[in-house]
Amino acid sequence: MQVRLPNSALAHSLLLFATLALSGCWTPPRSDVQPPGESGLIAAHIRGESHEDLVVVEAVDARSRMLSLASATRRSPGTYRVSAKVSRLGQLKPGDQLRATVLDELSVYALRAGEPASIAGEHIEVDARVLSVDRSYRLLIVQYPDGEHEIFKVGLGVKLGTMHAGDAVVIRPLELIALKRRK
Amino acid sequence: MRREACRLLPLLLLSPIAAAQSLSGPELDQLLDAQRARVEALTILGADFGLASGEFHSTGHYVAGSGVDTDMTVSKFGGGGDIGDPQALGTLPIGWQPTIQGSMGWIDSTDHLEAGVLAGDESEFRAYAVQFGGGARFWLNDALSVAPTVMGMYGHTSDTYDANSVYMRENLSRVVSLGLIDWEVDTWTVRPALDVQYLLTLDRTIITLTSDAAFFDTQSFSSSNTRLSILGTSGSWDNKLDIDEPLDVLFLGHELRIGGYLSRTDLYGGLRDGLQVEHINELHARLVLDFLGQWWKVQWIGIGGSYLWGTAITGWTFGADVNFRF
Repeated sequence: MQVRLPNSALAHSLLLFATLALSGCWTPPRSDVQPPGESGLIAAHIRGESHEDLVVVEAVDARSRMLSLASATRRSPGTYRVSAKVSRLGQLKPGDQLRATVLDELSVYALRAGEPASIAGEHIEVDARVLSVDRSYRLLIVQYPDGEHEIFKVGLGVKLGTMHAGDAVVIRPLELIALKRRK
Repeated sequence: MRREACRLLPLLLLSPIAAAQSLSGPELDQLLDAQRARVEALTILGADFGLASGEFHSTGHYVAGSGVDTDMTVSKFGGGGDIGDPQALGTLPIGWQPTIQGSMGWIDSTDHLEAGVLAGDESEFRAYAVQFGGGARFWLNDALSVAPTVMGMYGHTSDTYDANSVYMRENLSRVVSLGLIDWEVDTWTVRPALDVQYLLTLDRTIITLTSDAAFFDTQSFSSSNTRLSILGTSGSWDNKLDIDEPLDVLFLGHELRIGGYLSRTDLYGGLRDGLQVEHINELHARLVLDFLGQWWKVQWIGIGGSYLWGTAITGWTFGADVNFRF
């Protein structure tokens, strides 16, 4: 018994495939590109959640609910306020390995290449650059200078369509909203 | 040949004259071919992650008016996915990423013989199978990708005949010795496949067009009856249009998404002959919560259901709809 596909269907599929294949080439996403548009602030006070799969506790201050963490992706170490929703903070100790969900406030700027990182005379401390944007799932993927990248889930109202690869991102940590001990 | 044999099986079993004669030579070969195709088809349908699961019903599809109804339950757990982000393939303008696929499933198919001398008899086919494999997805541009994959599959299929008719009770041992009923077969299958996918984003809506062709080479390595050895090839060609639409509404901190797909799967070789189904259409709808970027590797969790229909077969499925992105 032989398996045969209908010749006409196969021919149509190959034609469609060839047409689609010729419509451009694949290029890896890059953050070191010049974004389109004029210099300026694109969006500020964007709240974004990100997941850290592995963070290591460096210091705990349970009374003031502050936690210092070292992370593979973030500028480390970072000190974060811990949300009131997180319980048993006092049980953590330096060296503990955790999964963390961090709430950050992001500001995104379009900056001209070769110009100082400033807007209206105010210097901007750029933390990362936009690597890519997923509008459908509201994901802003940024890349840090060391090459690591991080994914932020942003709110419904954020206009991700105005952001492009290469845009400058300033990240201000707000708080840790979830912690889970790694097993 | 197999197709004809499948149609002969109930006719011969239903005909007291033919059944009373000693089956041998070409007639017996045709009946055994039909059984072989059935084993091949049930093993593949039972586990293959590319074919639909659900509750199926078919009325008299072996031979119109033969009085053979079939109820079939197919349960599966598995799926496939691409791992990580695409990486450059050397200096070529092509991205690639590994892809893995796996599935395990269980199938229970009962033929109800409701006419002729075998009226009241039931033949129950059971199969369980596991498959695993992988390959690579190659991105030719940001929208178009192809994924060649290879999978291996183990399957165990058995038949249990419930002889209630007077005629079959008198002839049961002879039919069993011929390898037509009450048997068990272990098989392995190699499954090379090629998946072509085109992604289209309109505003926040994601439209995915997929064409997936799979080839199955099945052989038995153990059988309770030496007459029933399996060596067959099958194929399936699935074409699917999927729509994934966010609703701009949060529920429990996650955005609601609605979506679904319409697909047509054409069957070839033993898969078609064993099921007597040339194609299966599926209309699927889902309502899910978006967890991407919020839960580790989880893209969405929700509920979904399908209505399936095809050549002389209908079915449905409903349950949890969970998708992962690695």
